[in-house]
Amino acid sequence: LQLFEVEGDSMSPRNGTTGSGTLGGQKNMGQVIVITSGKGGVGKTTTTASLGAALALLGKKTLVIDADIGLRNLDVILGLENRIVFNLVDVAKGACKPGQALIRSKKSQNLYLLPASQTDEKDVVSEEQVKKAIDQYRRDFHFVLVDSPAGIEQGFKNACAAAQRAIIVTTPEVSAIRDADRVVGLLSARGVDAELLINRVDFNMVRQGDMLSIEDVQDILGIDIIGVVERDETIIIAANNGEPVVYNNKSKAGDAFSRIARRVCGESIPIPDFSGGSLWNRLGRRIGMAS
Amino acid sequence: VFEALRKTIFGSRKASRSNAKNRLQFVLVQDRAGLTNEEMSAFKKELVAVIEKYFVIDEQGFDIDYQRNSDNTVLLINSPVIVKRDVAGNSTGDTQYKQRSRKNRNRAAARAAANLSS
Repeated sequence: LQLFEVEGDSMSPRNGTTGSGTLGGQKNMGQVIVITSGKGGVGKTTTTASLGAALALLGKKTLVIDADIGLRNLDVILGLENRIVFNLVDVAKGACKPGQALIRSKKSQNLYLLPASQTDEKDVVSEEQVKKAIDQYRRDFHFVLVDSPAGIEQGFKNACAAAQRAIIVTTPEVSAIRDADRVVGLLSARGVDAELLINRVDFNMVRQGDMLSIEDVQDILGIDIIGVVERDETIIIAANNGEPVVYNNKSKAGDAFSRIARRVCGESIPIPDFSGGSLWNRLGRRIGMAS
Repeated sequence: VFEALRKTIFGSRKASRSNAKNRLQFVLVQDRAGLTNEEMSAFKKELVAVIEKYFVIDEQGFDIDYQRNSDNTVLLINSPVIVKRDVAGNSTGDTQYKQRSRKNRNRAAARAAANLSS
């Protein structure tokens, strides 16, 4: 099983030794980032897929893991649903080699998926088992993104088990923000650094005073914002086609995810805020002249 | 301009954004503290009672906030206090403020009197 052009010892089924690996071993272990939200339906899976694809486009070896055991979806969002053989539960239980369960993206050499099991219950594996399973991949990837299930029960705990960092996805709605706040508390108790991604912002509604602004959300939750994604139809089209939205270079949401990927890598890129601005700017934007 | 037009045509409607923000900020104080509604108001009552033992406070402006920073969580208790000389009546502070707290001041004054006589 040849996964990389560059050698990745631990990924080779015949070689289970802890070799130097693509990232040079212990010193350059990849970062595990959990994508979570508390509330369901705010865009965790889309975020995982889009951010994973965007990081891969930046040349980062990226693994996206679906930790939503029993309700897997990351595979269909990435268009890889027909290629699943093994899954996270198999890896956690040692039923297959770590490398055997990975599926490479059709679109990128750098993007891999570890799917969830569709037939098991969320508590079929323990936090320790999941952590051990995920840690095995760290030396071969720059980033490991873990798509958490909704809720704050066992599935969420499993998804956070190996994470050093978290991206909390929310929308500018009271229910999503309230749940996000719960998750901020739980993650900080675990010592995981959390940043906020505000999804589905409608700047027209913000201007009309009918949607919480980015500033409002930051005020309320008091954590750093890693990105803002506008409400955008191209997300739905991308999901229909099983192709991450970042490959669509006319998509505003795709652009936003590309910027977020660069921020995840440590670049400092300002977060554009279109909720203010003069009338002329607004008019200009509406007819596509200014930005 | 459009905003003004819209308002004159459709009548002004209170924007839901600030409503959402206020409601969230309120509910999150309780969520973060892990207290029920009753516990929270009991806590507030007891706090007010303790502070009132030593200070004259403006109960209207009394506010509890549970704020999370990057490395710690802080219970912020905002209790406007009327300074002693205010009680004596030689303050130059703002009158609206004094009016609102007159009730409290009278109560405190009564209490002080009670203490003196005991």
